[in-house]
Amino acid sequence: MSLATSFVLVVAFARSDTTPERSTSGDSQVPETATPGATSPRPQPGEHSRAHPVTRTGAS
Amino acid sequence: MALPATTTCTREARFSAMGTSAHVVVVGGSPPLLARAQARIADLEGRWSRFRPDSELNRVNASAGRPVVVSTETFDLIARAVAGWEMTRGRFDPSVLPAVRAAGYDRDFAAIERVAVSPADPPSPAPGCAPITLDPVVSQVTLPPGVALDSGGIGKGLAADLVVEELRAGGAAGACVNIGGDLRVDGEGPGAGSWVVAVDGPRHPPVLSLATGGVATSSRLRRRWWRAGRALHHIIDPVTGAPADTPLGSATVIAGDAWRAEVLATAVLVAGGRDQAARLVETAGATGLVVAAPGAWYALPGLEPFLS
Repeated sequence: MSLATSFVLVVAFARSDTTPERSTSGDSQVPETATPGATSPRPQPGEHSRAHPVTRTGAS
Repeated sequence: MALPATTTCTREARFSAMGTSAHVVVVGGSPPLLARAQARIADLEGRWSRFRPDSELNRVNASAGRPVVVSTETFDLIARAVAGWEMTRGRFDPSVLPAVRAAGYDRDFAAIERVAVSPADPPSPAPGCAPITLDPVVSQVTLPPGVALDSGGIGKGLAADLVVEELRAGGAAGACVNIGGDLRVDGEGPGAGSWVVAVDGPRHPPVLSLATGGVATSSRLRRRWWRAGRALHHIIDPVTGAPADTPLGSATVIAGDAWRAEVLATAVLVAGGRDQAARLVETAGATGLVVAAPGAWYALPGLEPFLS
């Protein structure tokens, strides 16, 4: 089984016993599970540079 | 914006895609990579656009209550959207699609009537992702009745991730794919340096430097329209189903990949509070910055090494 498949299975199984509760307090109460964020790749900073930006963030 | 001179050939293209502008930069590799990247983005848009009746995502949404076999790409999109919902404890929620439509964003943004005297439809809370069933063995998705998913920003982010990975696998020494502010960089930057990225929006905007990672900005100051004299925007609070009532103007997140950065940027904007924002990004191994009205920005924990 590939790592990607394992990851998806973890998500699917974790959700099977998860019963999210929603509130009107502005702070959603979806219980924390085995989050993919815990094993996510981390961004790596580059060198400090005075070079012109290659691109701009804009906004989605 | 001119690219720096480099010994490794750098090619770039700018074009419209996914309802916004896209920018692809390829360092090294063969000339066809650039056109291949553009075609791939168009392919993913065809699969994920909610404005194309024949898209895979629309097929899934139209089949709520029944299992649907989808492509690997679309399965990954939905799996990551559900993962994002869990990671942010529901602040990012792809099931807001009916609420987005009710607010008036029911067609390509360029075609939306920007000012109308009639009010938006009443908001209703998003149902959440818990009842969504994913079967990775056969690439099958089942949405419960009444649930419909919005690919929105996460589609742009995941497209940037996929295309950068494919460019690198195809021989590029480095690549940057930026789709409307959801961007991913990896490998060698132009001039054999890092990837330098300007952040739009705040006064005295910061410039970021990355070796690898994803950057995404969510803003309530763009994609705005008016109904019955009330300004509305596309960042929906899943709890209320209405445009988020947040003190923040925008949030920019740096994460390991662009889809995750997009998920976290939206969640930070919806959460609204400084402590909540810091907790969200730290938990996910990310960082970023937040722009508060009227344009001043502050850093989230861990940003300093990324400032150019």
